[in-house]
Amino acid sequence: MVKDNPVTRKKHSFFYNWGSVTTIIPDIRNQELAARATWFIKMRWLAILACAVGAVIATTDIVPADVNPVDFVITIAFLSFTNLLYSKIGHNLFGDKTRRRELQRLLLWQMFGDFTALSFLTYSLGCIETPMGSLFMAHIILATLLFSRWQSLMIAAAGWVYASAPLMLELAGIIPVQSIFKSEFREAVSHDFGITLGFVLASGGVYLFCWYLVSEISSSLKLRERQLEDAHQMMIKIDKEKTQSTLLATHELKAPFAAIKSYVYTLRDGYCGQLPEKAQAVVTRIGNRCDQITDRITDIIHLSNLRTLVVTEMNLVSVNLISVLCEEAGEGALIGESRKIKIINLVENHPPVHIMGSYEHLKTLFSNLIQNAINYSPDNIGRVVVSVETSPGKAEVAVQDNGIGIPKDALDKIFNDHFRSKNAVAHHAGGTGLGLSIVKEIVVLHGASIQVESIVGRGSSFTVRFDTIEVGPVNE
Amino acid sequence: MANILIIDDDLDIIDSLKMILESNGYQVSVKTDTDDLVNTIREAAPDLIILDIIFPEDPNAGFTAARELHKNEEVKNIPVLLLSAVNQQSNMSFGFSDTDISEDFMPVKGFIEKPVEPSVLLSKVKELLGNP
Repeated sequence: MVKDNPVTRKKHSFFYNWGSVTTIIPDIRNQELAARATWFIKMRWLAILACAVGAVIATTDIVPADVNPVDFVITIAFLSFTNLLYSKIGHNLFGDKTRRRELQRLLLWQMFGDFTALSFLTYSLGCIETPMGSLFMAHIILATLLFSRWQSLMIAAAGWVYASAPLMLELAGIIPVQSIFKSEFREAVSHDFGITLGFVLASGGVYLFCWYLVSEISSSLKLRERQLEDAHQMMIKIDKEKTQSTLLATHELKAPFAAIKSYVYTLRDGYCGQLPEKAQAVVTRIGNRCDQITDRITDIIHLSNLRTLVVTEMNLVSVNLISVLCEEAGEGALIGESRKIKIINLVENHPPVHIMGSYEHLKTLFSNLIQNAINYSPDNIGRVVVSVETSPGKAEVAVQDNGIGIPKDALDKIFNDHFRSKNAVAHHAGGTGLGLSIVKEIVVLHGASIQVESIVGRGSSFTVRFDTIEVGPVNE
Repeated sequence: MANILIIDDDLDIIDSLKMILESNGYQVSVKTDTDDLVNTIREAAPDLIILDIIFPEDPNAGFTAARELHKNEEVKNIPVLLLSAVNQQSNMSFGFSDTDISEDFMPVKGFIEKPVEPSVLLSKVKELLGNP
């Protein structure tokens, strides 16, 4: 008994069309912008809540500070109004990935709205004695991540202007000095040009330093992101080219044999005059040989295609195993008919079993297993049983035959390319020896496993185990 | 008898199809590329078109031609039968079959695989000409 190691590969999704590849590349940057804009709106509600708490505290004597609760109420009203506005604008934008400029504009509006509210609160709570100015930093850091380097520098400069404006206006005597701590020191500081200028420049320096530090890291991240995107685009391009060249190679190799076979048909069916019996037999053999070569070409190309999947042509969707099995059992019944080999389909009335997979590749997998079973079963009494067993999260599909069986010493080699056991060659000379290699590749690509049990002279059983999924969109 | 236009770059395929169709009383005209197709069809006035998919200059030429014909009011009602060596039976993920026929993707009346069994070809031709 040979058991293939279950190997799980990452599942990709790729939309395939004849001659054209349709790819959906998510615009990560726009998604990030939309996510940040939403996050900003949520965070602003928290800030509004914090302001409400501040307003309540301001009405009590818990904190020994002179804070006007009305200032908090004004801030709450301003932030609530603007936040509702941003939500409404954002609602129309978030579904559309292409409107990057609008998203950036929305973020910019949010930042400047916040700068206004922060500036007002900075003034209300005291420009020097509270750390309100540091709250501008959060916006500056985000700006470096979401805008270009120069745009973020402008935003940082604007933040600095908004943060310093109350202090400068106090210095100029345009607005009265506000402080949560009533003392002469604050008055003296606010009217001292040197100290005020020093404070403003120092805070500007801190903003600039933070902007530089984060923008450097951000630039490096953006560069990596661009490199990744380039690599992704390259992989898609390679995949598309590979498909095209595989298609052309298949066509170039198969087309001449198709032409030969067409002539064989015309000879066989007497379109070029009646052939003597011996010539008729030779023509039939030429035709059969053509079919064998065509099958071999198809198998070789198919196998190499499966082994070189890059982004992958596997379109993994929810597939109902039962419909694949019924379809292939039906095909098998037609093939087995001429040799009176019976296909017993035990899955016909089974409820749907869904897995994530590629419909086409799964069809190939079971087509190969069923055709193999037919090829190596005896004429007239051969029977191939297709069955499925399920347990929570798992499905086991078995294809059993009463054929020639596989010798014990060949069991571990049957999935090797071109391997054919002696009794297999003796029973069915035309095989390519690649059918089970293809089966193995498809099993691996689906993160499934395959098990073979066989007794020489009595038959073989191939069992493929899949992880199932809950019913989703069905590709039947 | 009905007139059938075969459009294929493979002269051997054309030759063998011609033998089968002419022996069964059909008139056959041929074209080995898809250039200036609408004019050719206007002149030949076929009752059925047998169209290859892959041409040396363009692997999608057959599809492009089928879509072009489908858009042209003068010729859109002439049934088109697609013919190719690469199809669903080739077990490739890009294979296709009759089930892929659609207004946008494959606006044709039928699809057959190369090499085509004479009996299959004749029955398909009869079906598309409306005398099964």
